Amino acid sequence: MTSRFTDQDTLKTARQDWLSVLVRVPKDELIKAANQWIFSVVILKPPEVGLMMTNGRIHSTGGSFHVGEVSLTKCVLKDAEGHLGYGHILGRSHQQAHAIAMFDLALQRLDTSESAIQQLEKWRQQIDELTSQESARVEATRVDFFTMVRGET
Amino acid sequence: MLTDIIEAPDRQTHLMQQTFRRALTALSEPLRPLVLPAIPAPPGIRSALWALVLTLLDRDVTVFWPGITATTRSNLMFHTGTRLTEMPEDADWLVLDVADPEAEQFLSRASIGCHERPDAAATILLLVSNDATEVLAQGPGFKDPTSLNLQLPESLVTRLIQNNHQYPLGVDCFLVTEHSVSGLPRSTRLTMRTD
Repeated sequence: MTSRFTDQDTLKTARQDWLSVLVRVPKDELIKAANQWIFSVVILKPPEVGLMMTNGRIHSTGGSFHVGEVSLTKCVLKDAEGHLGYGHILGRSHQQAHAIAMFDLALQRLDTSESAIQQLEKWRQQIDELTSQESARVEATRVDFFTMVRGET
Repeated sequence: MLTDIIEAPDRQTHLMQQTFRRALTALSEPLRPLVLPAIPAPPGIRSALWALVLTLLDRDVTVFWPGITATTRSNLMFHTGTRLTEMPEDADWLVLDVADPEAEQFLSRASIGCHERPDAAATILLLVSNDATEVLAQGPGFKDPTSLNLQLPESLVTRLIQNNHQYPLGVDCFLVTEHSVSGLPRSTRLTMRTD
């Protein structure tokens, strides 16, 4: 089998990392980029939309509560070598879920991983840049509260 | 290995709805065979069984499946996410082959629920073979006591006859052939024909 990963644990960690980037890539850009992969795939689970309950908590000490349901699209593909490509995305875009699954496969395959990693790193940089711009913008409005100590200390 | 995973059937939602509808009908009209939609199944698994498995099992239930192959196991995990258990007592669902000499023993260990929670009883997917045992069946779903041939060996029928002695406790069964299913709920009273 021509895979970059021999054990499931390494794959899991690496996959969590690249999927966290892929889901933040703008939809159209991702779908366009996924068209470059021409290896053959079998659709194990065609893209389907469902609902998922989200949990939230206020502050790290708060109790967990249901925020509400969000729509989720998922898709699972398999290539000729037997890799599985998963695409889970918030929202209802079948194409986007499919594109993520294609990238998930491309990043595992020996023949495609090199160009896929390049593409991934480019996206990671863009996303990091956007995140730091956004946090800089938010930081400017930060208010620090001081408590004055009254009376004798 | 993960390479053995088969594709989900086309139009899965619709197929599963049809299968669910027929499973309900099977329980309300006991022992009447109903044909299930033919779908691709893992090697060695009956199409009707796979349709029921995809429809009825999910991550909220536990399954006892003696002699499950590695391929079937990985497909079961992938497509349903259900939990497998080694103890028939803990299982919500049991998949038993009547050809398995231990089937009767497993069946006797299945949960029949308790009086506060009769719904906590297990449901059995019984893979039937070519045996034939003549029985008289009566109860809800039968206008008159009806004489039928059950595709089960006598030993298992004897076990099933005892099943509703503690009614409303007891297990519900689906008798599964290659392409069809018939229901045998705990409300059906069976008597062995001796004449």
